[in-house]
Amino acid sequence: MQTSHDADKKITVQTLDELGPLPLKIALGCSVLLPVAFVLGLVFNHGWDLFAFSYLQSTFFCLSISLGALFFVMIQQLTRAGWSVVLRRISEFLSLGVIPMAVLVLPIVLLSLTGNDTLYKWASAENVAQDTLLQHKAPYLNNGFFAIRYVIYFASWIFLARFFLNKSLAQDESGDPELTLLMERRSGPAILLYAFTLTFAAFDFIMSLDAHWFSTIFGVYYFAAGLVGFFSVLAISLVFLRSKGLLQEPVTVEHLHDVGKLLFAFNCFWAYIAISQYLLIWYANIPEETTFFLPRQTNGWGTVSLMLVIGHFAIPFVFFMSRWMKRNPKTLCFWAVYLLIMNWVDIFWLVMPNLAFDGMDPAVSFPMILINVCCTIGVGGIFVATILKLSAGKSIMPVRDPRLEESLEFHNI
Amino acid sequence: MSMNKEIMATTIEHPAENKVEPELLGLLAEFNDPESLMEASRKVRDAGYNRWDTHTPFPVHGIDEAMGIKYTILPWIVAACGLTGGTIAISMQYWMNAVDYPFLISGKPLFSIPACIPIMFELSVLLAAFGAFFGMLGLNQLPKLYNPIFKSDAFRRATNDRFFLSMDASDPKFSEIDTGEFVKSLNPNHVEEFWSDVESPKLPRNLKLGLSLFGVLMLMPIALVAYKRSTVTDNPRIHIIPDMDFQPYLKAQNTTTIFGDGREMRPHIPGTIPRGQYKDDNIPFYYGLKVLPEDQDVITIAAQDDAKADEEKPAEAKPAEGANADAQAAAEDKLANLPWVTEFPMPVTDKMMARGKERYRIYCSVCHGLGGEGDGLVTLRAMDLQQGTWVRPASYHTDNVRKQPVGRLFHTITNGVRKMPAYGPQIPPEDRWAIVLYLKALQKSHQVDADTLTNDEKRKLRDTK
Repeated sequence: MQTSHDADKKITVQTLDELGPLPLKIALGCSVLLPVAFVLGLVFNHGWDLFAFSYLQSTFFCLSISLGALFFVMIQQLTRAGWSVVLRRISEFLSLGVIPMAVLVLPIVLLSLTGNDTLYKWASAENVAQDTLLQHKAPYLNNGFFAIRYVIYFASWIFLARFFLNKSLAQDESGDPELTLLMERRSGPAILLYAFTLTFAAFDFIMSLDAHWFSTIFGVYYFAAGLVGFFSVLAISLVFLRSKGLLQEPVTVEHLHDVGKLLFAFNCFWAYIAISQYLLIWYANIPEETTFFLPRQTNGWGTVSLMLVIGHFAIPFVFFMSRWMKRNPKTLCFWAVYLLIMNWVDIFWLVMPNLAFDGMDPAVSFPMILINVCCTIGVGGIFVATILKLSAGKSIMPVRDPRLEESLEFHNI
Repeated sequence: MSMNKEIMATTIEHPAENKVEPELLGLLAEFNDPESLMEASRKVRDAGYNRWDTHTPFPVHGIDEAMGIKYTILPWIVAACGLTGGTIAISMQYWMNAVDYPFLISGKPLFSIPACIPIMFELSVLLAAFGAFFGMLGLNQLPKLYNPIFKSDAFRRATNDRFFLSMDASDPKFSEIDTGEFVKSLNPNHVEEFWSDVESPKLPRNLKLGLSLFGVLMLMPIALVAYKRSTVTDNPRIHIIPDMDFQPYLKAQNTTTIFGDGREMRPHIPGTIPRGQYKDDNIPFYYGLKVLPEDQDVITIAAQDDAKADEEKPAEAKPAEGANADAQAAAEDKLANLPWVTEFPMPVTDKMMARGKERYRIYCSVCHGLGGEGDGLVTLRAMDLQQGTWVRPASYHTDNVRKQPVGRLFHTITNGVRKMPAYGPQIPPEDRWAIVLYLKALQKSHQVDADTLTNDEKRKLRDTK
């Protein structure tokens, strides 16, 4: 490996501070909507349930973006990718989102620890006593073990995110290529740890909302959703930063094109995983599996499901496949925003139909969407503000990475 | 070209020694590094040439733009092929599953989209991949085994460390002198011309022979398939892939070397009862008897005696009734004294009656008739043909049969009587009891006093056809 030569001479170190205090202020302003959503939850009929589910949906929507970023960082190290160096630091910043999410998910864990069954039916001893299946699952799905797993998941993710960011930052100082080799060596086992924690976290926090349902592919589904969310956010941030004069030189249309390609590819991957899950359940037609899709075809959820099929897959597949869509920053940004919204709908569709108040199946309703949107903007505000705070004063590009030259010269063939 | 024609015309007597004047095909310029090649490419592009090319040892970024090459149309070919694949897949599945061979699978609609998606996906990907591969070959005009440019010694370094630019003489803007000057102005290491081949290389004679033989051989499998499809044969077909026609299980009535006694059918192991064949726990149900008699042979004796009598005499000589009447009478005697059950050994239900009716119509009615009078279709036909050997089956509505306890009727179905074969092996005991029940109902239906019926029932009987 050749070391990066006189990179620090050519490249000026830029930080997110150059954006000024406005983004942080806007993000903090948005976070006010979280208490607003809470108050709305108190106002509406069944609002508390709506708020609890919306809160879970919002946190896991933001968390999926950070987890996608973490995966991207690790896979770039694992594959010794050269092209992505200029945009890796932004991904590393985004992966820091697991830190605020660890705090924000804590109330969900504490709620279940008190035996409250608003979200998880298995959390209440009363429900378990009446349900044979929950009794059989109790050795895994119980409050104590759930809390322990929460600690393991978030500790692993925070550790991984900080490890890769810190080593990369240390390289900014020393320019030591050994650090790159270290990260390459660690990224293999790290991805293994990541795969297990992400899969089981998806099982625990989202799939166990309906503890009677089984799907072994569910972890991969959440992973695919997260990567779509992450690449959307990455594309939006890059276009935004370039418009503000940051990363303008290093990040070229070629890099944007590749981010667009990955966004498109992982959107197809998401569709592939979604149809795989659906097809097996549809074919086998076993009641314990179809319970997942049945409520998602009634009470207005059928429209949401169709919206995912057409909006999340068919429309982007036809229009976003084109090369120029990905090479034009404006169209790329449009599709990234569009797919981020679709990803939000996807997590919404995963979480919200599990609501059941008074044994009634939940219909898609205006209060539900209102509370959910407020909640997501609020949680998103905290998410973005924390990332801005944590990444303040740090270079937005690994300025002395040994592969930086390769990345700067990157060209699609 | 005109020059060629002239020469051809003059040398028409000796076509074998036909020597064509070499024709200038183009110019080849050599450069030391990719930068100068790029620079030269931009100039050639701006000069308006269309037919020219660059040759480099490795892919050079930006050369497409420097050469002014338009973005490839390959994606459109791939998209068209992919869409074709998807369309073929969905119409094929529609035709196969919903039209040509409709087959209901696990209650799904005959044509359901989710089931079609995997095939649509696979075929779209397959045809898209074909489109990409063959489209790429086609657009690059590959495979191309020979190019006159290969004769240049300098050009050999195109795969190592030199960069070349070739101008095609077929370009409308190409003229020998001007273009030569122009190429020199690009500052190449040197410029050379390349010419068409003077004589076309001859194919080795054996190659032609070999190819012809190969072609004929290639036709043979098709011819064999066509022949086999249009003819019939007594021989068993050739199994290239042995399918389930041949299985290594042992067959009835054959010999084997696996077991010491050479039999493929295994006798019961003494002291054991095969699964599901233990009958002594419910004697009334399985035998129609309250208890098993000491001499168990007696319960099958009637049928056996009858079978023996059949074997002894040729069919024509057999009287309709009775040469072995003595033996039969003896057997009847024995049977009459057995402890038959008089009640059904299982609960009698409407369902059982319906089942009995159905089974009766399948197994019994052909000889005994739908009403049990012994006038079934087989009987009628035999009577029509005046078959002397045919014994008219008994009517159920004689005093003799009417008096028989249900156990005796069950026994008759199980083991047969006189000409009637044993149905025990064919009909499971539950169904045999159901038939007995239906038979009893038939008997009862023939003995009703009209005065005991209500008016409603009478009208119903009159109206029912």
